[in-house]
Amino acid sequence: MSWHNKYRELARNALSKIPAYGTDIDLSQFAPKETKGDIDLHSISDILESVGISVDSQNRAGEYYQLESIVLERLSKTPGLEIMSLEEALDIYGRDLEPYFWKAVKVDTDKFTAIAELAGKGGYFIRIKKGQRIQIPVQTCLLMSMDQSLQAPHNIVIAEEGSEVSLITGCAAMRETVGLHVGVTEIYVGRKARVNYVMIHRWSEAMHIRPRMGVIVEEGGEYVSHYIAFTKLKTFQSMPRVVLYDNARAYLSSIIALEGNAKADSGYLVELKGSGSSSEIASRSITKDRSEIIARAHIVGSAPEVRGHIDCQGLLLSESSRILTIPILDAVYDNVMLTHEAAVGKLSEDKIIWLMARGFRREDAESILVRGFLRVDLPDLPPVVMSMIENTLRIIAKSVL
Amino acid sequence: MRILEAKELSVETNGKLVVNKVSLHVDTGEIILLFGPNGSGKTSFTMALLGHPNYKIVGGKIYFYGNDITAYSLEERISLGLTAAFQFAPELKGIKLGELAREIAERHCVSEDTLNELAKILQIGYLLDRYVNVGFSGGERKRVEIFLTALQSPKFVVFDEPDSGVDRDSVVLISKAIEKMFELGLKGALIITHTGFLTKYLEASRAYVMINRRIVCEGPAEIIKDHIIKYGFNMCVMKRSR
Repeated sequence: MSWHNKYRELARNALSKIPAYGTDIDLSQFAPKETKGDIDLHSISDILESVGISVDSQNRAGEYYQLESIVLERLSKTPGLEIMSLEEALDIYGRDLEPYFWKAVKVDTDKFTAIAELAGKGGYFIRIKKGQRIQIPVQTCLLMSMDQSLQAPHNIVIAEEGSEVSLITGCAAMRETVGLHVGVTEIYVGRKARVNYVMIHRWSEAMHIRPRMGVIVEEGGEYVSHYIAFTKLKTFQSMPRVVLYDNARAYLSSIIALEGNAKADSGYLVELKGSGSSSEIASRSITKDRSEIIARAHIVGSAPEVRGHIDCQGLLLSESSRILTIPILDAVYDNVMLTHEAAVGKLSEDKIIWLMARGFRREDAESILVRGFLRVDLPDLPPVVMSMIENTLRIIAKSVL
Repeated sequence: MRILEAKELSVETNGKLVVNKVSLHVDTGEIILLFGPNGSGKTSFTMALLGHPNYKIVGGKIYFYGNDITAYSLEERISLGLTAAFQFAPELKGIKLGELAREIAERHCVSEDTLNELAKILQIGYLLDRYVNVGFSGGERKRVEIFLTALQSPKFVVFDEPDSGVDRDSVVLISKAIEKMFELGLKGALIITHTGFLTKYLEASRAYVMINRRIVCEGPAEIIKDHIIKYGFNMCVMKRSR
């Protein structure tokens, strides 16, 4: 595919490009691993369910599983919904795919996008055809289990005009491993289409996580994203870029709960490029032990009558952890409305005592407060997605205390 | 039967004496009033009865059904059926009132029917789907505090100023809810109040007046209340000095 070569050339030139944020990683320590792919998913159902993946795939419109670099399963159970690996999509669609290939994310963004292009394997291609409104979610699952492994799938989601879909992506380590996960995800939300995207990460103590994500929302489209990462990891850095055109809307929330020595640098960049577009970013950070989180949020308003709001909250559960919030509002047009609120602190002792006076043990009172802290108001998600998120938040509230 | 008794109770918080040798008791079926100006030590006394870890008992004893509970922790006291309805309940963003109410009711084996009945008495059904106390009015907060306290099915409650800063209608609803609590197993109550408004709708037997960290007088609730309304809190101090 000659058209493809220019992206590989750009990637080769960016292989040493240090990322704008977060800890740099020596890529030479990691390489894609092959596995037999004969895994019994039911044997790891606890892990899968904790990241929102239903093993028996009931109430799922389609699914995609990848272990290391091997695609285990890809299946659509719904008319108007295509699910395949990116390699298969490139074979079928060839150059027709180019308008969606490294457009929401630049291939030469940094060394991680570059390695995904040059060495990455797999990744899902999901297309929701024009006007199809799929009420039950699609689930995708990326698993790692081998040491020194690089998992770098390139995912592309295309929601055509007037379509609607909810995607649940669960990424997890099946055991304690040393690895690097670089998931590149490009999402294209067509005119008046809607994508609800829920991504849940549960990694192990020695893993480096570098998702690279870009979303383009066309006129009148809606994008709702809910990112959850919890338990241990070594380092994490991600700053998805979301571009909104006329009257498009985005609601972006992230919940990151870290322990051990984990370090995360996480946030969103939103570009309000179309008139009347709007976005809200909500982040909830929880640190315990010696973990650190930098929570960024950056909104650029560059069109008339756009609105943006940032809500960053941090909760420290130990004296040795740290949370730094960095909200940035950038207005480059006169009649925009951009606002932010931020607060970082520890659990309120007064609230704990009050809950204890209502009959709760101290640990239950703390768990209730953490659960409340984690709750963000998500607009109109399907009930099955909402209950899955609430289940995950309950697991987090218990696990962080 | 004596439910609660404080004997010569002295309390410190942040190294400062906030309750000085207070003695007070409540018998079965009694509603007792505790009057006193702001800053006299009423809430500190409540917190000490509750077992709040920041309120250190430096003298005296607390008895509950005749047992010395002075050294008991907050959790131990709550498990005995002693609790307090706070003057200022906190806002709990992210926790819906209905969810919290059901959790409290389940823990204390209070039925869904009783929960619904209490919500109806206190007219707070429309608040169940909202976050606890977030954006609630003063009256709503007080009614919600009584509601959640009632769901614990307590034996004894200190109500800390349930009638302060609320409209008359809310006072009526709160008094009905306290009556209902007695039907459900409440054995006695101490109501801290500035005005005694609640006694228009609830019958209190005795009253104490606390000024400057001490109990300065006690007597039949109606007489004490009438004197305070006519002469203010100093009446008790003068009477005592004579």
